[in-house]
Amino acid sequence: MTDRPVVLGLDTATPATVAAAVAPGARSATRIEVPAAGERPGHTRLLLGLAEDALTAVGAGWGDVGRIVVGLGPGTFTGIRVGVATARALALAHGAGLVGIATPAALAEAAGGPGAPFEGRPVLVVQDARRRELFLTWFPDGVAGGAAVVPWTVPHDGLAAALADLGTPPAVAVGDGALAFRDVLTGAGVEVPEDPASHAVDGAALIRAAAASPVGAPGDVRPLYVRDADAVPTAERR
Amino acid sequence: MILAVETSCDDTCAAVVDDDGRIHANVISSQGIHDAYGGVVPELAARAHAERCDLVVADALRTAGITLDDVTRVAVTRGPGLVGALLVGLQTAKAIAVARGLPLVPVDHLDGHLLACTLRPVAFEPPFVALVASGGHTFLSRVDDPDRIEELGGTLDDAAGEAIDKGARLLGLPYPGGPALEALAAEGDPEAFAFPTGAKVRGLDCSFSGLKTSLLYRIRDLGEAEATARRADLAASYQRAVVETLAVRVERALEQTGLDRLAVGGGVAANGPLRERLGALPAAVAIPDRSLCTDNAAMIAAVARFRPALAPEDVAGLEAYATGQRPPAAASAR
Ligand SMILES: [Zn+2]
Repeated sequence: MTDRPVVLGLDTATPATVAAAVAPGARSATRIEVPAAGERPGHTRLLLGLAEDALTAVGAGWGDVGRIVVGLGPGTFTGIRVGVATARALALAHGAGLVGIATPAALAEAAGGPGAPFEGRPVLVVQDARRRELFLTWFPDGVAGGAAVVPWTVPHDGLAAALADLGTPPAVAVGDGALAFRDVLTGAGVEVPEDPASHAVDGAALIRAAAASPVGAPGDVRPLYVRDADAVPTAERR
Repeated sequence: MILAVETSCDDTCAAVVDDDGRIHANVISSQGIHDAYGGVVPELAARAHAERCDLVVADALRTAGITLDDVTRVAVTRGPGLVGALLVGLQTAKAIAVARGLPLVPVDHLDGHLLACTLRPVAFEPPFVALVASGGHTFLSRVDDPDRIEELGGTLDDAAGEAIDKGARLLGLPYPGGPALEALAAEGDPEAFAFPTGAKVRGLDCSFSGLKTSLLYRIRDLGEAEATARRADLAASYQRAVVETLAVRVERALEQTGLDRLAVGGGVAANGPLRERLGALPAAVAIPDRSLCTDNAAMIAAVARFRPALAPEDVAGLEAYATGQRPPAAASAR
């Protein structure tokens, strides 16, 4: 690994397109493009360009990347596939190690990880899941902590009940869903940071969150859909 | 060496082809998950591509006995097709091209079907008339040169393969209907029933909706018991009508263009009676191996031999186009 010391992070689970590169000596660069209101995410168009930008900014090229961290979702089905397909192909291109990590782990790391404002305290990640639902992911210790992260969905009007079910109240909630449901969350005593950056995926945090994760076989790095595809076998149709 | 990737529908495909059109690997990973749904489910197709696209690429390189060091260009299907499916192959190809500093050639899927026959060992050279018939597309083109392609006719409703699937379903056969219908038809009399072939409709466009309706009414008129007893005759007559619908237009296209060379592509080209009927035409007829007729990446590489690569600064941003969203540039190249 010493001859290819650069880590590249990619995430396309949210409408933002995110890339980051970390080189030895704590040099790091993050790039994020957020679509304007009403615009579609530009994951396909933007991801590789942003990744190349981030690499250039830390003085690296594609051949210097020894490890690729990709956010697996949940998010839009197409978005997470763009990230995973890109990361797997980049890993193939130069034989880099590949690590997949749940996207909410990056949000939790930025809010509750070492040195973060809510360090070590319980974090709830709340993401817009469309169809009047939210993805919730629970980090009782502020970080993924090596435990498997299991996001789940709740309907918009089920958020208050889901909070009550957690047992421990979250210290903070982050994610685009947290912004949208600030009232429900603050009403339950959960802090929702004002700074919009707290609610966007940070590529450097994604890389930090995966620091302890071992490299896996590329075939095991799969999108985290949470929801099934809407398809009914002919035999079960009426 | 050209490395090509194709993921426009439900097959995950990668191929290695050299500049002379020799195929070194043509890997087709059929998903086999859609049959239970009676058709391709776009989201399931995209999910399956994302699980294996890079593995299929690695398999193609291994099969060809090369590494990425030997690849000089990357080719990829840009469209038309299922956009979620296309994006997986597109990102895979783009990422390899960008990370390895290789030229990327975006290819139109339909051009792939048209030029599949230019690959060795068939190595059929333009000019020719080409019929492409599959579950997703049915059209006739005039190919004067790999760069000079003119569409002569298409389908006004269903694709030929779709018509076969729908007929098969009406006859109680499982999806996909092609092989089952052909097997059943082999035991029947193709003259037993007269189904419409649109022979009196002028021009080079096909229509299959009337044929399907006609089969539906015939089954209803016969009654369940009789229709079941005569399933093989119904299948044979229906199949014959699909074959004739296509063959009549092919004959007209040959006559109209004055060309005496015909290339056939698309999954329906695997149909025995169609091959027989077209093979008997007074023309040189090229029907490549089945693996080059159904969706595959070797045909994408075949086209890439004749198309320019994108400017390096445009590779990272390349986007796919779905069925019905072909940009004017792709359409005018045809
Ligand atoms: Zn096709």
